[in-house]
Amino acid sequence: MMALDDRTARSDAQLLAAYAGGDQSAARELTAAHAPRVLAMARRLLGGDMAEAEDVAQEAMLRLWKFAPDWRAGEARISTWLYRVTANLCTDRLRRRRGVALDEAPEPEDPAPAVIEALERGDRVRALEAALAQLPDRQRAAVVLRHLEELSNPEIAEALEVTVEAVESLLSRGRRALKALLAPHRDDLGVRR
Amino acid sequence: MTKGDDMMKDDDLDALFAVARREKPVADAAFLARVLGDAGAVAAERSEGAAVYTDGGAAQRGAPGPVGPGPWRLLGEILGGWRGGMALTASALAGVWIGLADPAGLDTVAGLVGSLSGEAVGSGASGDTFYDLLLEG
Repeated sequence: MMALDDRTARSDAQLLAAYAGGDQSAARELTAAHAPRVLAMARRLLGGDMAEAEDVAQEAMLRLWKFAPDWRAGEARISTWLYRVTANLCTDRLRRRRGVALDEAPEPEDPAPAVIEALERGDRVRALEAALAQLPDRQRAAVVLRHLEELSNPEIAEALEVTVEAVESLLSRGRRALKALLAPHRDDLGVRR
Repeated sequence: MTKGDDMMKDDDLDALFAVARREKPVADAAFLARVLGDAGAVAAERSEGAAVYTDGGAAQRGAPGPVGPGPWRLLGEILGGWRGGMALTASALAGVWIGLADPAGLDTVAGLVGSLSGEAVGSGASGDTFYDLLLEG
């Protein structure tokens, strides 16, 4: 399963090398290929805040431009590297937003009002995003990368800098928490009993 | 109703994920322009410190023809151009000569350095050699 599209890591690396050599058309191709996906991931990790997601995505791409001359082909996929940078930037933003350390983030207990509000508008996707926003950061990142960005577990492990076993644990706990959050709203979600 | 009946099933959650995957956020033109603007700014900044080539895709880092002064040219400018470089070379040769040859030839070397650098360089009216000075302490 490809994490991004049908681009190969080699062609991305070649584009980045061309950009580092002064070819702006390579930057355009890389932007078209990666910026929308980075933006989508950031928006989901940040609970749907598009303006903040754009800031994060722009910063992630900026770091790619700066790192371009030092990029060594074959060591990592550009997409995975961008996912890692984006996940870290989002974690930093969420920490600042909450003002608490990551590990101190509480486990979800009750459905957030945002879930109910989204369902009242008949917006199932916003309800899912609101539920995702209730998860601890790393659980949310693992669930988003696996089920929305469709990365493999090893790719997620690389992006989050954890073991594959840790990814499996994060996914298991994340899915369980999501089901608990959304279960009271099965009818509104169009889920059968 | 059992507790299991209250739970959402995995298939239901996966169906919800599938709906969400179909909804792709659109990156607007202004956002993409900012990203590309950053790419251009970083490239421009980089080109100020190093040679960057823009030949439409065939550019390769390390290609010949640097825009800025090369290291040898820079060294030459620091040492005062070709005249300074020749004087430095002559001085280095004089050092080798002193170390290897008879001290009696020192005046010859000093004269050579002086003529290349365009300056009056002598060993002194007394005719003392480097060895003489060394022995005197």
